[in-house]
Amino acid sequence: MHPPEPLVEFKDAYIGYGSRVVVRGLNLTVPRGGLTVLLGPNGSGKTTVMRAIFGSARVIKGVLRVNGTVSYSPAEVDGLVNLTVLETVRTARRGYAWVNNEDAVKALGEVGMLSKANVRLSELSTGEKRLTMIARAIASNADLILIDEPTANLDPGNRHRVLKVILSLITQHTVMVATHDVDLALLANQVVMLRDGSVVDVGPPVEVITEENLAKLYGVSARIMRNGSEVHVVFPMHEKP
Amino acid sequence: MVSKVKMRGIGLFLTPILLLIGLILNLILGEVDVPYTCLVACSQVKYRIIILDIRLPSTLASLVVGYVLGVSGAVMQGVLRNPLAEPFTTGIASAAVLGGLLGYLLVLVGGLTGPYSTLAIPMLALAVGLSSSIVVVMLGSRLGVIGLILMGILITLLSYAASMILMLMIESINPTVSIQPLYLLYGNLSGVLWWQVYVMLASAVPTTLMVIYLSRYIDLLMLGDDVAKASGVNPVNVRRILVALTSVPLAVSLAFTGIIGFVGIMAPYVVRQMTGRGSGSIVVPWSGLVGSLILTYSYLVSRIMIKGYVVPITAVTGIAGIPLIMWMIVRGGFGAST
Repeated sequence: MHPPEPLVEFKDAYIGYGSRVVVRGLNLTVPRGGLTVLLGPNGSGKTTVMRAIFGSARVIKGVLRVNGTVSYSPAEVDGLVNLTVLETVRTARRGYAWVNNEDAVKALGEVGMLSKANVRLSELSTGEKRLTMIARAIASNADLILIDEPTANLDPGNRHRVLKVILSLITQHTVMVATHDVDLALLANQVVMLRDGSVVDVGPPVEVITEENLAKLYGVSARIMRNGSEVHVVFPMHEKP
Repeated sequence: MVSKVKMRGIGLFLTPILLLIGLILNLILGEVDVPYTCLVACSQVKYRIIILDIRLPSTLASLVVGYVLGVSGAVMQGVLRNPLAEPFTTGIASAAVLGGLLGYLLVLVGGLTGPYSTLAIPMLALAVGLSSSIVVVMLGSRLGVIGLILMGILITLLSYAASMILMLMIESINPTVSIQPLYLLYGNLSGVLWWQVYVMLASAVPTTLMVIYLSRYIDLLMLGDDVAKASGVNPVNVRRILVALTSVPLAVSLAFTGIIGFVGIMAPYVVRQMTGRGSGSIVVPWSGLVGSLILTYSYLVSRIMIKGYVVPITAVTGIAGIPLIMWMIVRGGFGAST
């Protein structure tokens, strides 16, 4: 019996738009189950990698294989969207059909947004908008859930809520997250560090999240502090890289 | 404050009643007041002619065109992700005016006579209007939402420029003739003939039903092209199909009744505010009904406002639009947090 095929396989892939290459030489395998984190500063190519998976970015050279359905949850939803929370989740597709009301309601319950089902998206906080889009991804029952910058611009309360939801997602779905939130990367099965379109390192967080790599990634010095089983990453202000 | 659910119930109940009342009032009232008993059984031929040959086709036209305008407005606002978009954003209106002027020129210069002369203006208005939509849809969609809007602006500018030139040509041929196709600019429901009503219905019913069936795709488009693509839906093609479908009945209505403004932008806003919903599956069909309501009553007002005159319909919808736009400004509700 051979192991199940991976959901996504990038082999020496050059990804971009038109003829413009944004991400160079990506080798990445996303197995079924677990969390893959694309870690890197703004503009490093994380979103482009995700876009390649569902076809909004081109694989100019190399190979990309996608063996499953995908759902994408963007970092921002246009401010003028008039849909309610429930209507947003009901735009999820299962195959060639729209998701039914029952499954939409269930997904909203899983992220704790059921009480706001009839509130317009435009009236929600950023965190609640992200939770709604994650509920939409859950409702679609996609094999791979792509979440772009889930914790960016969130206050600690909302960040906590979103992180909890992502953690519970991992138990039942394969998730890929693009983020510059190092704490989130610590929770992953594998971390892909990207800077300026190049891969700095790939591997489990224990190996990849080092002070050296973080300094390379962000251009500022990093300190990893361990307190028993807790790991904290700090970027001290007064140290030079 | 009445709850949104109650408002929806009231609206569901009231709308067909209001439409029926509007229809009846349009048949009875006007320059000649017809006794309402005539609606059931009429002995006087004079009244029968007024109702059947003059008022009924025009009133039915107002219902159909109002519905088309409401639906197109809702579709454009969804497809362009802009609550201020309206049916004529693609430039179809100015293109139809250009077509009408071309038709008129053909009659003057080409010496068209008989049925061809009466058909020339609306047929060319339809042809040019529809062609411009096809161009916008095919070329603009590839550039996304901004591309569509820019193409619409381009078509509008081109059409106006060409129209100016045509009007100069017409004037140089016959300086004293009044430019007939001006009805296109102001909107005109009076004088709609029965065959025109049939054509409008034939173009509106299948396309509108298809649009309503596809309305959830509008919702998906609103979340962004990336989200749509990831769900396996091609946003460019969906935009093309939706705009193309609404362009057909719109071009037909423009050809026969001219440009009627404000209805397409007002109706979806009213529906969204009253129902608290935003999904195309609710907003699209109901914008049609609200559009029919607005236009039917506007038509009534245009005929009874000044005794002996029919005020151009766009003036009436514009007057109705002013308090509504003020309400929109005061109430907000466009979604962006202020």
